[in-house]
Amino acid sequence: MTFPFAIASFDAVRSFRMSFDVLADKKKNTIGVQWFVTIAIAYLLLFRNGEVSQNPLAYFLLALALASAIIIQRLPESAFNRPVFCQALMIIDTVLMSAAIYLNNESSWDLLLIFFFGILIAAIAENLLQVVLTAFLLGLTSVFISPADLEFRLRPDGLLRVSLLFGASILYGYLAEQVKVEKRMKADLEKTLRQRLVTKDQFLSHVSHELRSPLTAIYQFVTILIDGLAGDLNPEQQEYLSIVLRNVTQLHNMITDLLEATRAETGKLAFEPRCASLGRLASEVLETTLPTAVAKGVSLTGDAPTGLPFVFADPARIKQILTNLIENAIKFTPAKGQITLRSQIDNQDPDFLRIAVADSGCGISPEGTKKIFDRLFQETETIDSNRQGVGLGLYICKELVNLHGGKIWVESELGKGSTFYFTLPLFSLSKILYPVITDDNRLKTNIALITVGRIPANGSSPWRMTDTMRREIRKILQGCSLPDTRLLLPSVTDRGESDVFYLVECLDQQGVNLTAQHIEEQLRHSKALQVPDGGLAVSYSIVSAPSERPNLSLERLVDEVATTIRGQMLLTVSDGENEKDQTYVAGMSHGIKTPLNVVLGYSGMLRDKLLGDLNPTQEEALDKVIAHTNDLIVAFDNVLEAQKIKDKTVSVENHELNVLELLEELKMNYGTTQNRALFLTWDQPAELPIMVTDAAKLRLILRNLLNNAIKFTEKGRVQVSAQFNAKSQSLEFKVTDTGIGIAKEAIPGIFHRFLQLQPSQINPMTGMGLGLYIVKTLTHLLGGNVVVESEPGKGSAFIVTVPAHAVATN
Amino acid sequence: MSRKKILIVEDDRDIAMGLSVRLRANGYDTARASDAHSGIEVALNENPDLILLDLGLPDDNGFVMMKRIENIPSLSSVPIIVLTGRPQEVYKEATVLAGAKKYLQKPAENEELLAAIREVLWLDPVPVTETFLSLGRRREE
Repeated sequence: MTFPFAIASFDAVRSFRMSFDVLADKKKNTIGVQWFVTIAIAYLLLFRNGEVSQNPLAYFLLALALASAIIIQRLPESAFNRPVFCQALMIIDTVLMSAAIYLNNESSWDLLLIFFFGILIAAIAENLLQVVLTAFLLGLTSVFISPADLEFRLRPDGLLRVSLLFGASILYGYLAEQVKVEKRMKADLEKTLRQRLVTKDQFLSHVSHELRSPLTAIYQFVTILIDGLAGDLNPEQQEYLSIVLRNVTQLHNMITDLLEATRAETGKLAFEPRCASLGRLASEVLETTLPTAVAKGVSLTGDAPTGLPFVFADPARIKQILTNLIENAIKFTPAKGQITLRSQIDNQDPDFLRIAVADSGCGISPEGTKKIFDRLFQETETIDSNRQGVGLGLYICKELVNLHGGKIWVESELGKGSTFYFTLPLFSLSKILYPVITDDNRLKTNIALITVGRIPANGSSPWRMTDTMRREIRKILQGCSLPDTRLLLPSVTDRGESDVFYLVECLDQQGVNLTAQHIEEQLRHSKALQVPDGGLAVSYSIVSAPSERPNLSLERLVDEVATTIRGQMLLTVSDGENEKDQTYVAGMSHGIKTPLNVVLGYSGMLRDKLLGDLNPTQEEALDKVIAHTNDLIVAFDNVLEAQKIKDKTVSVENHELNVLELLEELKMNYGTTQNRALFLTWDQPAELPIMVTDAAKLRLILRNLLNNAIKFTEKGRVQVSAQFNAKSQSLEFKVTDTGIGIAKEAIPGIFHRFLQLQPSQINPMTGMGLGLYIVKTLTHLLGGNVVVESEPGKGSAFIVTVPAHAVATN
Repeated sequence: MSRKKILIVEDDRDIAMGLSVRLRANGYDTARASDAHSGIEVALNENPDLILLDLGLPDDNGFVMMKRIENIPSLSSVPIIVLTGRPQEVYKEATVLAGAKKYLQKPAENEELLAAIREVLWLDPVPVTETFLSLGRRREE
C-alpha cells in the first residue's frame, strides 16, 4: 500500500510548494491535494483489518469521493476563487473523511478527535507551513502513543494516521492560506489602485467628470420629457425631442471617444465594429445635418435602396464619417446646390458596400484630390484661405475608413463638384451563422477564430504589406475554408503595424488545428508572400458556444457569438500604435459642435413654444436641458484648451471685438435658463469701443467665471460688470456672487487643475475642476491677470483684467 | 410588496432631481442628499433599501463614504450602486473592491440603471445557473 501513498505525497509536496507561488494555480493545487485526500479516504474505506472491505456503503462512499474529485477537476477556473466553493469542498471532504474513519473501525475515536483538532488548527493558523508541521507531528505522535491506554508502542494503523492527518491538514491549511493570500492581494490591489487614482489619471478623471455630468443631466431631462413624465407632448414635440435624444446619444459616443483619445496611456481609438444598418445611420445623419444645409440653401438628399445588406462597422464611427463628409460638402457648395448621398454594393469588390457623397460645389483640382486626405492639408500654400478646416475632418475620415478595412477616395472636376466615395465591409456573420444554429437557438458546434497577422522582422523595421499581398492572403484564406460553414471576416485593422486577417470556421479543436496548418503551408508556399525576414503568423482560438439559454432570440445569440469573436479579435490586434492621436482630439471639436447645436437649437425651439404649448414642469425640464448643454459647451471648450495648453499648441488670435455684443451673447446664453432663486444682473457702460483681443478666449473666460459663480450660489445674485480703462488700455470684467465664498487660505489653490482630488480636505470650493484653471491660464496668455476677493458665507468676486487696444473709430 | 426606497447621494442638484423623477416613475421611493455627511444622516433616518452614490462629492469622496457606511451596523448591509462620471478604467475595480455592488458610468441609460437596481434589489427572478455563471464571469473580468 505504499505505492499510491508515495505518489500522493509527492503530489502533495509539489502542490504545497506551488501554493506559495501564485493564486492562478489554485485549481491545479486544489485538485492535487484533493486527489491525495481521495486516496487516503479510499484506503480507509477499502482496507479494514488488513482485509478488503465487503461493506457496500464503503463502495458507495468511495464512488462519491471519486465523483467529487472528478467534478472539481471539470469545474471552470473561476469557481475555485469563490468562497462558496471552498466551503462546500470542506464540508463534503470532512463528511467523507469522518465516514471513512468511522467505517474503518480499526482506528479508535481518538483519531477522529485528532483529525478535527487538525481542522481547527488550519482554521486558526491561516498558514500552510504551520498547519502541515503541526499535523505531521500530531500524526507521528499518535503512531506511537495511544491516548486511550497511554502506552508507547507502534500501532497497526500508524501509517494511516500520518497519511490521513497529513492530507486533511494540507487541504484545510491550503484553503485557509488562500484566504490569507487573497486578503493580502486585495489590500495590495487597493493600495496600487489608490495610488493610481491620485497620480496618473487625474486629468482624465477631471475631463471625464466634467463632460459626463452635464451630459447626464441633459439625458435625464430629455428622457423625462420624451417619456411623458413631465406631461403630455404633441407628436411634433415628440419628434423633435427624439432628434434631440439621438444627438445626445451621439454626444455621449463622441465624449467617450474623446476621453479615449485623451487617455495619456494608450491614446488610441476605440473601435467596435458590429452588424449595422447603413440606411438607418445615414438617415439619422441626414436629419442632423439638414438644418445646416437648409440654412445655406443647399438641397440635401439621400437615396439608400432598401434591402441593402448590413455592414460590419462601428455605427458611431460611420456617423462621424458621414457627418464629416456631408458638412464638408455643405461648406463648399454654394446656395441652390445639391448634395446627394448614395450607397450600393461595390461593383469591384462585392464584399463591400460603397457610399458616395456627391456635391455640386467648387470641385477640387487634380493635384488636390491626391492630397486632400492628408493630415493638416489645409496648411499647405496651394490652397486658398476659404478652404481652411478641410484637412483635419477628411484626415479623420480616412483614418476611420481604414480602421474598418475600407478605402476612401474622391473624384472631382473643378467647378463641377466632387464626389467622395468610401467602402465598408459587409456583415455576413449572421447569414453564415444561421446553418449552425439549431431550432431552439443553440450553436451546433464550436466556432473557431483563425488569425493571420504579421511577425515583425527582428531588429529592423517591420515589413510593409502591399495590396497584392492582402489580396493573396484573402484568396488563400478563402481557399482553405470549408464550403457552407465558412465565415470570412474582413481585415479589421489596416493601419500602422497591424494587418490582421480573420477566418471564422465552425470547427472543433482538431479541425481548426488542421485548417491552421493548411493555411500556414499555403502562405509559406505562396510566391507573392515571400518576405526577407519576419513573415506571417497563423494562430487560432475556439469560441465556445454561449451558455444554453433557450429563450435567447436568434439575433441575440448571433450578437453574442459575434461579441465573443470580436473580443478575441481585439486581443490579437497589435498595440503598435502608441503615438497619441492629437489630431483626433482636435478634429472632435469640429464634429462635436453639430450635435451640441442640434440639442441647443431644438430644445430652444421647444422651449419657445414654437411647436406647441408646454406646462411649467416641461418648461423647467427644457430650461435644465438648455442650461446643461451650455455647461457642456463650456466644459468641452475647457478640455480642448487644456489639451492645447498641455501640448503647448495654444495660440492667441486677435480680432476686432465688440465687447457689448459679446456681453449680449452671454446674456442670451444665460438669460432664461437659471434657477428661479438666482438673479443674474449685468452692468456695463452704454458704450464701449471696439477692441482688439482674442474673442474666443475671452468668451471662455467669462463663461467659466459665470458658471463657477452660479454653481456656488444657490440663492441670491450674480453680477457681471465690464469696464474699459482708456489710460491703461485694458478691459476689466468683474463677476460677483453672493454664494458660499472661499476661505482666505484656500484662494491660492483654486486655480490649480486638480483641486477636487484631495478628499481629506474639507473645502467648499472643491469640485470646480478645470474651469478656473482655464480662466487663469487663458488670462495670463492674453497678458492680463485675475484677482479674487472673497469672504466665506458672503460671496466672492473674480476680477479679470486683460489688455485690449481700442480701435480708433472715426 | 411595499415600495423600495432609494437614497440618491449626488451633489449636482439637477442630476439628483432627474434621477429622482425617473426612479419615482418606476415605482421607487427616493430620498436625496448632496454630500457624504448628510448622506449618512439621511440614510440613518430613512433606512433606504439601496444607495445610489456619486464618487465626486463636495465634502468627501464616495470611497470614504462607502467605508463609513461599512462600519455602521444598521447600514452595512444596504447595497450601493455607484453612478459616476469618473472613468471606469480607473475607478471600477476600486469601487467594487470598496464594496459597491455595481459601477455605472454616467450618463447611464435609464434601462441600464433600472436593470442594475432591479438586479441588486433581487427584484428580477434570475435563474440559479445564470447567477452562478455571471458570478464566474465577473470574477474573470
